[in-house]
Amino acid sequence: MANDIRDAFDHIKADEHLIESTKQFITENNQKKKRTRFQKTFAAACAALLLAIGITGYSWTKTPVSYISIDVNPSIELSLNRFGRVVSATAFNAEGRKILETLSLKGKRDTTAVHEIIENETMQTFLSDEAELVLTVAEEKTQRGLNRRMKACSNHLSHECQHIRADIEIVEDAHSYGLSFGKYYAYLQLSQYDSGVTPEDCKHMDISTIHELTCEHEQNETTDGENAPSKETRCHHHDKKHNQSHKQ
Amino acid sequence: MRSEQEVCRAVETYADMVRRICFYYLKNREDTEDVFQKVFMKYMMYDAPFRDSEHEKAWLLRVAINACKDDLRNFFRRNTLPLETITELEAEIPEDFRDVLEAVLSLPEKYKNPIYLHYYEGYSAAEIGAILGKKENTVYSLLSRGRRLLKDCLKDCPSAAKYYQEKTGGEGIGE
Repeated sequence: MANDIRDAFDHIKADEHLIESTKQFITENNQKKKRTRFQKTFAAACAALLLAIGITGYSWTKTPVSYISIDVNPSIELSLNRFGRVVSATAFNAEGRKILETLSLKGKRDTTAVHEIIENETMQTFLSDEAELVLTVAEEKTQRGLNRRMKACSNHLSHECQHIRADIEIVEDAHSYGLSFGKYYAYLQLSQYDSGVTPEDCKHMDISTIHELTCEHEQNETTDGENAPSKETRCHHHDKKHNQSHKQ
Repeated sequence: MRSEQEVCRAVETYADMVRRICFYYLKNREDTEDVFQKVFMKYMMYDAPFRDSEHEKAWLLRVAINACKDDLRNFFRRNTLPLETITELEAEIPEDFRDVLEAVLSLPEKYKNPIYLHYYEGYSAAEIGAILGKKENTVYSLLSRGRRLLKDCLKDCPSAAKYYQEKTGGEGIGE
């Protein structure tokens, strides 16, 4: 019986048509698979590129490249990305914190954010006639235009303000002392005349007081006439000259 | 993934073997073509190397048997039988061996594989057990029962009985 079964099955063979159609199917599928593989690789590359662009773009929008310090008595600092949008708003004293509580500034344009802070009801209570409003700007070398935008913005503010342009490197130092860099810049000016003054002392003074002290020292030195340091004057606000810009 | 040339070589080498498995499992040509495509596509996608040609053959046997079983499980195929099936089957079976092959086809499914693998492919019970995932003793029993069923079937068939009487000189159907 074994031989009969073997002989019988020996006659069952795959015909040419079946073999050829299978080969054709394999060829077509092979090409399709290759195409699919290419498409998948291409899609993966595109996805990776989009992801890289997304991550770069996101980090660009979240990385601060310039800063604005708004100092009256409330001390507030805005960090801005390269598109001039607010990345974060930080208050450096209780008054500043009170103002920021009522505002949502993240993602807003720099000019809008400054306008909202200064026109804020709580801030207005600090902006008396005698109060000095100082906008200090620090930006990376690649970033230009913030200072110009702030000057333009100040024309629309209800209170006169003083513009100062500071070096961006002082921002980190200022934060290490718990000061806004605007106030820290004022401290640096004062410390040129009074080596005994500390950042901690300035923390509890409003910006007008620091400027007044600096101004007094400047005036004393001018009166003395001799060895007057070639430092820029901090007394312009007393002469009612507003909207002046100073470079460190 | 295996190259197209490699798959074509396998098609040439093992087409008859796969065809024989399809023969005792499937009912029509369309299903056979489907199984052929499935088996050799799986072969193309199977990356692991084979130890030798025997390993490759056993792998293809296993895949072909599974593909046929899957095809039979297909609800639509299970419940429909095209009209041309009968004619196709008739045409497939060579006249001289019709009785033997019809007897094999009439066996319950569990006996077909051991009978084919033992009597045609020449595998031992242990090897059949490895291919079908069954114990060696189970294969022995399946072979023994399958053989008995085949004999009974062929005895009942007058033309087969006559054929065997002629061949054995009146001794009936032997092993």
